[in-house]
Amino acid sequence: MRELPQKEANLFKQILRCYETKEYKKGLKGAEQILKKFPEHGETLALKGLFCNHLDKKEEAYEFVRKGLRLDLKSHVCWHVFGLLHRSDRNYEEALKCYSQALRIDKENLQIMRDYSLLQIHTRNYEGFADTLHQLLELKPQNRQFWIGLAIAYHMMGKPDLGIKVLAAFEETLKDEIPAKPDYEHSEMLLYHNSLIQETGDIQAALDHLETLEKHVCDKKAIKEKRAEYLLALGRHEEAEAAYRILIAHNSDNFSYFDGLRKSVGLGNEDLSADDQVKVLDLLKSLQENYPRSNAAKRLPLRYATGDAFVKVADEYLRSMLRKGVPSLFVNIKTLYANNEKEEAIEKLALGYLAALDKSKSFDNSDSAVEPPTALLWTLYFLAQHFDFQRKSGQALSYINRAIEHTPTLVELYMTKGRILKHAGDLVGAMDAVNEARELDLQDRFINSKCTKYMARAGKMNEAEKTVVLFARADLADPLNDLVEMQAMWFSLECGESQLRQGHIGPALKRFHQVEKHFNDFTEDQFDFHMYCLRKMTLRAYVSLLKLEDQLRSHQYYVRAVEGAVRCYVQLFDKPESDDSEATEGMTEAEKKKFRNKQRKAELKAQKETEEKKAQAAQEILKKGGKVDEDPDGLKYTKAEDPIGEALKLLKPLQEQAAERIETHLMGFDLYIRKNKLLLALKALLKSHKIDANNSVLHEQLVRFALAVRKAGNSVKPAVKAVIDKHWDTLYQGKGDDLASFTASFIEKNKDLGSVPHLISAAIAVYLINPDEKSKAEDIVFLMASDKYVKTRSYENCIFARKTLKSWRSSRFKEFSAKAAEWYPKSPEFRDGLEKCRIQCGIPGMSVAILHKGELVLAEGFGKRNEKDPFTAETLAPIGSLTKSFTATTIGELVAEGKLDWDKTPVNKYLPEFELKDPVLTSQLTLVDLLSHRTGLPRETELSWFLSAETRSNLIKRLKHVEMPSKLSSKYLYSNAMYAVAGEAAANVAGATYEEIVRKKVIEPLSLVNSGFSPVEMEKRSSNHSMPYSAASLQDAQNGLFKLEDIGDICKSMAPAGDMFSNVLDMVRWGKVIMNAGEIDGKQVLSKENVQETLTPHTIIACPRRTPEFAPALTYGLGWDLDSYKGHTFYGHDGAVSGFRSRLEIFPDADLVIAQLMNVTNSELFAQGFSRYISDEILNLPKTQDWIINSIKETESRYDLMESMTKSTIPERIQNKPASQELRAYVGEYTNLIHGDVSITVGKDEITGEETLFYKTGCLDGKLSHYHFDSFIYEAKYLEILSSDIITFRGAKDGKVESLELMADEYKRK
Amino acid sequence: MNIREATLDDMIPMQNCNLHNLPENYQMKYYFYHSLTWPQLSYVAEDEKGRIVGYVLAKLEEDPAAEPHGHITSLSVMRTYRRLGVAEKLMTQSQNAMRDVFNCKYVSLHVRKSNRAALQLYRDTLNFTVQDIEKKYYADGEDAYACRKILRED
Repeated sequence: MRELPQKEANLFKQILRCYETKEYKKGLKGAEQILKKFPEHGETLALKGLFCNHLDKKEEAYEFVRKGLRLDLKSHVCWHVFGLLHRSDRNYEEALKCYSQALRIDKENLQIMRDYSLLQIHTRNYEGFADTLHQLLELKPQNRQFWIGLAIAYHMMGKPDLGIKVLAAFEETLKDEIPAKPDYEHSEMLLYHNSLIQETGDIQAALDHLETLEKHVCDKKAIKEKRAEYLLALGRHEEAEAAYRILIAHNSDNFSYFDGLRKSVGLGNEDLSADDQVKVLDLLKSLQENYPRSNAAKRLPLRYATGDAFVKVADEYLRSMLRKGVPSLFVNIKTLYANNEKEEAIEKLALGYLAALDKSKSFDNSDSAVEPPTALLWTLYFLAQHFDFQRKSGQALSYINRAIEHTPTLVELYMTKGRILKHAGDLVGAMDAVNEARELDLQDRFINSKCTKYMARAGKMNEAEKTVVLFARADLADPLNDLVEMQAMWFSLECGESQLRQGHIGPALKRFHQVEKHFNDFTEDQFDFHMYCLRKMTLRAYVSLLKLEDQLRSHQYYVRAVEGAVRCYVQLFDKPESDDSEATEGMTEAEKKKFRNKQRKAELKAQKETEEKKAQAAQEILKKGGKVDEDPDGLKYTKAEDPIGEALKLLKPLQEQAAERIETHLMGFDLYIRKNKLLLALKALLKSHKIDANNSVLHEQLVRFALAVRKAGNSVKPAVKAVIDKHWDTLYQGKGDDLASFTASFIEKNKDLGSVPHLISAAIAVYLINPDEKSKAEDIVFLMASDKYVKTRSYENCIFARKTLKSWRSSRFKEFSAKAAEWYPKSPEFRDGLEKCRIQCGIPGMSVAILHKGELVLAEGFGKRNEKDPFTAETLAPIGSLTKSFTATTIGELVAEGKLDWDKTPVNKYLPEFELKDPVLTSQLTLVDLLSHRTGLPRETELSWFLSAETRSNLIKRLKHVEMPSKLSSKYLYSNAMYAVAGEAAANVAGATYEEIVRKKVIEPLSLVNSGFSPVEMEKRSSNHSMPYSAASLQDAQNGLFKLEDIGDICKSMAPAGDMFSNVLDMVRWGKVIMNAGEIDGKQVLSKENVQETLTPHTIIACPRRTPEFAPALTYGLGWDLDSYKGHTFYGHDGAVSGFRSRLEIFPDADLVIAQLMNVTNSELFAQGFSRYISDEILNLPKTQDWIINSIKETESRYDLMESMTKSTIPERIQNKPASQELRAYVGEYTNLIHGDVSITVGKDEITGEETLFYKTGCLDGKLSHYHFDSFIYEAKYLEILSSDIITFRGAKDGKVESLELMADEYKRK
Repeated sequence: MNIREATLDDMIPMQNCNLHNLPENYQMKYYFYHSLTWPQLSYVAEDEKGRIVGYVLAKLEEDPAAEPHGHITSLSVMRTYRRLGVAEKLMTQSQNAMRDVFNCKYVSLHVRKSNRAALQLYRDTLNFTVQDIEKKYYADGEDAYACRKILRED
């Protein structure tokens, strides 16, 4: 320390101590105190910097330390501090330089030498480490750590003999003080010593040494293991056998002990002769008797037995495990399937058990051995896994479904179902199954983790994140980030891979780099242990730490992260973000411009939205005191200037630590070739070639390389060319100049391999060599359809093959998709058509039936009808306004019977209670007026009819108060209420209820067995009915976020307008009858003339200008819209009840009926779009627009509209304007002639306990809160729309409350 | 199922197993710390393919006030590998090592009060007794049962 007065010198010593005791704040204060007087004191400045570093002030830290150093270049303290600073930033090279500079100034500073030595071992500079320790030992010969450190140094340098000498010398110094009782640290040192002897290869010496240790060693098991190992290696078999038997007695589940025993009795061959096999099985049998709880003794016979002996041991093993119900049984034995004979034997046994269990509850039809009922369950479970392993998804599913039927509450079953579906390509179905498992046991994190994985694999990142945080610590500000803190690499990898699959490069790279960081941290973690282990003497463990760290990045997780990241960076390089060539393919320049403008707008909008969301989330986190991620989408990675260079940085550790893995070099090639580094690319090829010359990817790379060299031609430097030439023939077997024949021989060589990857690689090679050979390349891809390739065909490689065909613009792309859809029937990936449409549009479930030229060309369900069950063609759902055609047709039947007439007799004659304000109108309106929506009844009249509990008759009586246009209007104005009137009129004449006459006249004669009235009856009719759903936005719907709605009895009061339910099978039958004017199955069931009347235009529907695909004017028959599409006449109608949607279309001249049911609100345009899409496909009509995309766009704006409707038009509240009356003065019954009654009561608010008003109308009820003056506000949910509105009370002249106003209607006090 | 002493190489898969199964998680350094201080006390179960499907992470409690005893930091077996007695076998091996190598008299552990399945395993299958309830032992404020089992009678 330099020239400070006594007081400051003492203070300086104190702050040094503060550093050692980690009191950084206190130290900083002290330093500042000194600097006040001596601002130029270099060492104090340096220390101040060091404190700043620990207090997270990086920049200041460097500034002060540098300044201090500048002021005092000759101070070892300053250099030491600078070294520590670099070290803390993992800048080891710089730190080492600083330390060595410090040591040059102060040669014998123990502390600096120690720090120096730690960095030397940390950076694996063993020679330097040994040197430093020699110096330290000279200074402190008594120090144990220095001795041991030196031994380790020699050991790691590959000189165990020198290490032994060091240890022996050190032990010599201890001679007089060997502890009487075994001492742990001493014992660990001795065992380490012994391991060094073993490493010299002198096993006899190691054994001799070992025998002297016994009484000094704590870890007796280690002694026993080593002894057994040495004896075996020395060929002292009898003693080795005894030693292994002792070990087995200690732990009868350690496979290596069993292995040792087998070898010591001379049965060590892996290929056992028949005699030896018998001997091994006998040995294991006796062990099994001695150790009945040993899994090893039970399981090992299956490994060694073959033929009949195998069947016998497998039979025993399987039975015992199935009886016990061990879930891991299949995983445990599937390694045996490497042997076909064993695989077949096991299948035969398991199928035998199942047959016997079904028949007699035993495994072999013996009466004596009745198994528990769970044996059947576990056998089914086993078979499901077995067939899944063989990728026989259909069989696997049928077994697992049987098992689920047997025990619907067992988590494992749903997990297996998920795995089967995943293998079948149904990622969403798989996710749903595993989520079901999760819901069965919400306490179990394992199933939660699995479920998260399946969600990520299905591309549902939102769900995955929501699910995974259920087990994160709730008290943390950012629970999702806690998983990163806890180094949950599995999660980072799943997220990264999922994002990559979805093309989100930034977020993907962010995840992959998280994994990289964890590995960097693991490397850094060892730093503290260098000193620690030398002190604790756990040297054997320490050496394995050093070895582990040296090849840490060969770990699968690191490899996966690099593989993902390399793919990301390659994509960034190949297709920079702004590239849209794929999307704009075939567009004119003007179109491209328009497209890009649109894209930019959409991007800006999306960006704004996500930024708002982000800001919100950040607020949340900040509120809880967390740290906000500045770049959650990993933009800094996507903006990398040299993506390939970034990828190479990640690859480097693999080249150093995982050079034996072919992936390392395959990735290397991919990167170098893009950088045009031919020599490095060649080097990568040579390494791959050495590991596996027949690797499928390698072949493709070789072809690419040869083409690149050919293309570069003379621009390749002669020196480089010389190296390439040198290896040319090795790599290309002399066919480097005739690539076609090189690939031909690759194909020939692998023709019996049955490997899809080899096929695809060969096909790509053929295409690369000569794009004119496209059809040959396509043929090769299609070879994968043959049986030979079933085993290696996977969902992923089919996707890849399809993508490859697409990139070639192959004409066989569709054909391949169809094939793949056959192989993976559950996957939407290969499906064009309706399932894809459903997913795109975000419809939870739907069914479609198509009847064309008398043939049911499609009757299928898609998606779900409730949380778990599939929507099928049979699924029942309300059909809403499609009921109107039934009402009209029923009336037609009564017309045919002469009980009613369409357009002569006024309805008032059939139903006298039907009166209107204008008596003239009452005397004029006919059934046709009612059924063709031309009475002019205002639409809001019927608002109070929905959900109403009033009788239809009472509601009808209110109509006479409604203000109506006084002349019969021919204008179309849709009216449900008037259909109710028509239905009631018919019922009155027929002398039965409306529902009864529809049943009798239409439903029963036509055998529409799946149709009926009211959701209540529907639920009773069949459990296969759909539930209704709604979504808050289209985006939510597309992400599968739905709200389950109530199946409300909302149409009862207007049943003739929309209370029926049905399914698509009945709907197409209904459509067929209408199309054939009442004839079905060769019989005229309905009156032809009257059906035709319903299909005759009665009203013109005023609608915005129509696109040329449709009739210029849309007209209405009776219960039908009458239209035409691309020249084909069609009758159609929509139906909607909250949460449900229906549509039926009939094309009489094309002989086509299309029926649809859906279970989500706001899907009107989807149903119409699907109908257009289907009619285009079926009738082969020219494509004029993308109906699906357009319906999605329009639906989005409908959601927006709905949202704006929800925000009601309530006046702004005026503060401090109390009600004029006390609450009780408002209580009473109020009535409106059209809308019925409102009753106002007073009661206690459940939440506040205060008195408040309540309201109740015919269909709604709830609480009223005071707003201002005599106005009160209420919140109501009506027909799915949440709204608020105001009720205002009005007083009479005497001040008493006389009436109230609700939605512009006055209700008078009764 | 192979039951053997854990090595440093097992630490990454052990952490992975822990993160999949249990709410109490630790950074890698803590695993390293266990294995480098008491290499004999932690055990793993590996399946036929060598994947780690269960583990016990254990330490020595060297509180100068009490006599040294073993402590189970974490024990878990992947759900799909249950019903083979793996947890019990792992515990037996670890406890033997505590007794034989470190001369421990007893072993202790904590169980979440809400985790009835775990309590059942420790108490009924592994013969632990509940010694005490430690209030708010866990980071989220949940109480813990402090359990203990005698390893050798003097």
